[in-house]
Amino acid sequence: MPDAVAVKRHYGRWLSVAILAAIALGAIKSLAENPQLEWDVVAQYLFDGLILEGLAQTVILALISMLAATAIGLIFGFFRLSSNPVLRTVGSLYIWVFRSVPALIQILFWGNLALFAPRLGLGIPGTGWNLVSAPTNDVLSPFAASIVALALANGAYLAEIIRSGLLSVDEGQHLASSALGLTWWQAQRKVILPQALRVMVPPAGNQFITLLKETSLVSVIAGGDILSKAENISGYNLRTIELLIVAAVWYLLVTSAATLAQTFIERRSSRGHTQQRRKAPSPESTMNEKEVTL
Amino acid sequence: MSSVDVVNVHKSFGDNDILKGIDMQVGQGEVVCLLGPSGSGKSTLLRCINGLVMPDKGHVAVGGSLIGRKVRDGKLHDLRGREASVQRERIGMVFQQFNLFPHLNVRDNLMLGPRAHRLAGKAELEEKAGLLLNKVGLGNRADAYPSQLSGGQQQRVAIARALMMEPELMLFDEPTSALDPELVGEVLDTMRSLAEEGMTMIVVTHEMTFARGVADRVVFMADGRIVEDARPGIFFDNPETERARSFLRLV
Repeated sequence: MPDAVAVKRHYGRWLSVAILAAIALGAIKSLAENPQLEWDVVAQYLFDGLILEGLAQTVILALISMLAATAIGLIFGFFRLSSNPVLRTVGSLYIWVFRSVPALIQILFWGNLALFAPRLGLGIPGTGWNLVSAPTNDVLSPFAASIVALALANGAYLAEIIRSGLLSVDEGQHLASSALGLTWWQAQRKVILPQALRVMVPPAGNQFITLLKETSLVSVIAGGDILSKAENISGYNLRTIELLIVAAVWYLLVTSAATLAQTFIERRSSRGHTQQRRKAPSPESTMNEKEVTL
Repeated sequence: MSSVDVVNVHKSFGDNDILKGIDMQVGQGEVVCLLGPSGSGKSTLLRCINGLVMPDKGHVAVGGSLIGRKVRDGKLHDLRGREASVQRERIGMVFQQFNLFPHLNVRDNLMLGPRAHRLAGKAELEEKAGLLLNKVGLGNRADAYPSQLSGGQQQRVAIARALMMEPELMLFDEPTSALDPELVGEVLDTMRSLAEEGMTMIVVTHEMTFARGVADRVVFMADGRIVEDARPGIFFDNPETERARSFLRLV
């Protein structure tokens, strides 16, 4: 009986790679040779001043909205897990409303707030007493309205992501923190949240990428994002598809950067867990990992 | 003066009466082993002593001060979170499942509690952590993460972590029940040397040899009540009740 194990030959894989490559080449060729598409227009506008301005606006909009949504999600995530029934109900109501109404409607709502609330102020309702008050359109620019809408809509999803992260931490960690005399907030900050982060990062990264593309919806209230700019330009030069390609290329690049950042944060937040995860590298498992990272 | 006073403590979870009136005193430097069948309320009693579980009735005092409560208008009122937390500084606890913080290395596991309470400067605490790790025989593992240690090593780290707070009382909740048999000895040795140094200890355990050899007193619980409270020699060789006799026959 021989000792040597025969090397597996994956003929099926090679065949499928060949077929997929042929399809991809065909698609690229037909796009490149399409007489209706002027690729030099795409190249011309890719680094256009207005487009870059819109790109910056999109990235800033996404980052600020994500930060605000995370803060909102943290508060309502804790509310949902509270032993206080009032807080629990408030958390559930917020998530129910802001997850049910489409983001587009929420953006239109905040962008057109002045239509039914001409002035915004802080005061006691019914008394006519106001601490501060200003015309809605002065306070809520399209940009500010975009941030409010995106933060509130995404905060509902982040609240659920954060709640699932908090739930993933073992009950014993709460007990050990209490037994060491940590206060509730010290325990959350030093023990619970750092461990919850490991579970929260993949879905939160997912949510950020969704949010990044959701910023394109603010073009309906002239939010000044990259898609608004692309549409403005195509409005007068009528190169609609070319400018959509320009925007798509930038979304692709920014999303790739976000994916890289996510991988980095994931590695940092799984300290102490890598030992358990590291398996003996088999050709199958390395193949699978590569497929996932692609 | 006794170090721990448990007076008429009742606790139920829903319809389930776990503790049905517990009275117990533990003196300074005394080692008490809590024995009894599972579900008899040993762990709940232990958690009442450091306020992780609050009694429905009765009270617990450690070193003369009421745990987790204060008296106002002839009733017991819950302390605020921060006040209750500060009390637990003085009481160390070791769990069956170790409950080390997996995201921190051994040194940071030891330093988290004292750092949160600002008990001393960083350098001083690092030195103290080193000394305590030497004491539990893990002086060379300060940089390891819990997942890199065996169960016995993790439990010894957990003991060192509790000792960092310089507690006047140590509570052990089945500290060896989750360990492989060959790792039990190293943890019991650490506990034995702690007892010899005069630490006041309350130990929930199924290690009868440890209870017989190290405990000053054995408290036997069944169905939420204390059934026997005696010196280990008397309890093991001459139990008074049929309940204790049948328990001892089974272990």
